[in-house]
Amino acid sequence: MQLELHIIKDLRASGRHFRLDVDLLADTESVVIYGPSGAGKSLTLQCLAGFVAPDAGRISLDGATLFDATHRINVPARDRGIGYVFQDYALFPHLTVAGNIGVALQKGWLRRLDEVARARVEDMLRLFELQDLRDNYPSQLSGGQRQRTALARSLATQPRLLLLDEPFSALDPALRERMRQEFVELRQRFNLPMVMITHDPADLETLAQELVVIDDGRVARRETAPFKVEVPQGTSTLRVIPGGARAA
Amino acid sequence: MLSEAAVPLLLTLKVAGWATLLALVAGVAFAFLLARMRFPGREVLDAMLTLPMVMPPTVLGYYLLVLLGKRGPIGAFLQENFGINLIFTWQGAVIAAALVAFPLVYKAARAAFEDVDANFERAGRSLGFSEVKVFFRITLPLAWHGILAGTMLAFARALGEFGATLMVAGSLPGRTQTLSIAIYEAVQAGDDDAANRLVIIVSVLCIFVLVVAGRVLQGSYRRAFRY
Repeated sequence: MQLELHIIKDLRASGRHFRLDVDLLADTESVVIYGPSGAGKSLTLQCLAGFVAPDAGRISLDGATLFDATHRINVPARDRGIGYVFQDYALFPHLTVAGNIGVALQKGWLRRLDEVARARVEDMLRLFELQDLRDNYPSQLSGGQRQRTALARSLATQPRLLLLDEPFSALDPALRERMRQEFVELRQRFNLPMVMITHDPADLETLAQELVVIDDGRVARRETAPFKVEVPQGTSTLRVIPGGARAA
Repeated sequence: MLSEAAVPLLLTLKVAGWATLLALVAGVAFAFLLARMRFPGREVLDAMLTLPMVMPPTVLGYYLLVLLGKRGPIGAFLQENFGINLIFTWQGAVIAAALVAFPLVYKAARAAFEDVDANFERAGRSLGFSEVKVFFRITLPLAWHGILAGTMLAFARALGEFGATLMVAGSLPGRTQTLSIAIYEAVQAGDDDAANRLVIIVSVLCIFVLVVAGRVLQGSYRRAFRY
């Protein structure tokens, strides 16, 4: 993946002013953006997905321009081919698991699924072990099942890049570690580039080939794997130590 | 005896039905516009759209007469180009009832649209949905309960409409004389038996509509899907 990101976005709310000014060139398959809440991680991801238009700058992915303020280019989110897994998963509550996975593949007013689409939904259900839950609604699922459904829904459209917004934060700690391992396997199987944001240092060593630390709207540090991280007791600052085992 | 009540009853249902349909389409369109778009004068427009709920129906009726009458801008246009006259017709009664019922749909629909989490719509876009698909596959199904509840209230309001309808459509028996107008006429004529029958019909009808509306109102999507 070749990701070029240069975005400026000013936000004003109730007298407070926040400026996002992120400059980033990433060429690994797994970029993890780390930072405290309010640092601008989510806004960065939303600009990349096309949900929010930056005020200025340029975004390109594998040579294709997605956004360019000077040339007035802003490819709409639906045409970017970028999957997005929301923090709370945002599964459509009125659709079943199979419905959530298949809805993007339905065509026309009759909501038809052709042979290929139906086969892909079945593949996803099998791959994510959701066959028995296919007719369940999101409210009937556990946290882990919701996350698997959200991943299956995104991957069913075969995106060229997957964005993840704190994908493990809604899970309890025991499940979190297991889902992390599952996710590493999944990413290798699909060979799918991803950009993930997190404020959990535990995500970094396992998942990041490239670590980007964002603080107060700016890139504070970049590190390519292998590296080690530690958060000294009593502080919230992250210490990144180059070297060590290579992340998957 | 029954047929004497059946004529205004059927007319009332016809007028209220069409009025509700008009109010539904216009109410949903304006509600979506104001819930999703940011533009100057948005809140002023909101106040204008809510006005029919608080203004005296006779004032609304007067406005409609001015606009739709033979010398009014809309009335003259319709008369010249299509030969249509709305004053003293059941279609005129529909317009009057729709205007009075409109804010009930609009208010409920706007609240329902604003209640739909924006991330559901974003999720649809990131899955490649067109804006039309986002609206019909995500936003509308999730807002539907609230819209339906508002629509039931609008129907109940249209059933009982009196003032604006009387001013625009008059009281022509069998043509524009709806139930509530027939009741007024019966009381004026001293026909207590007829008034009693009509009053009971209207009361039962309104209670029925409100009970159904209450059932629907209970299920916002959050509760319906336990989200």
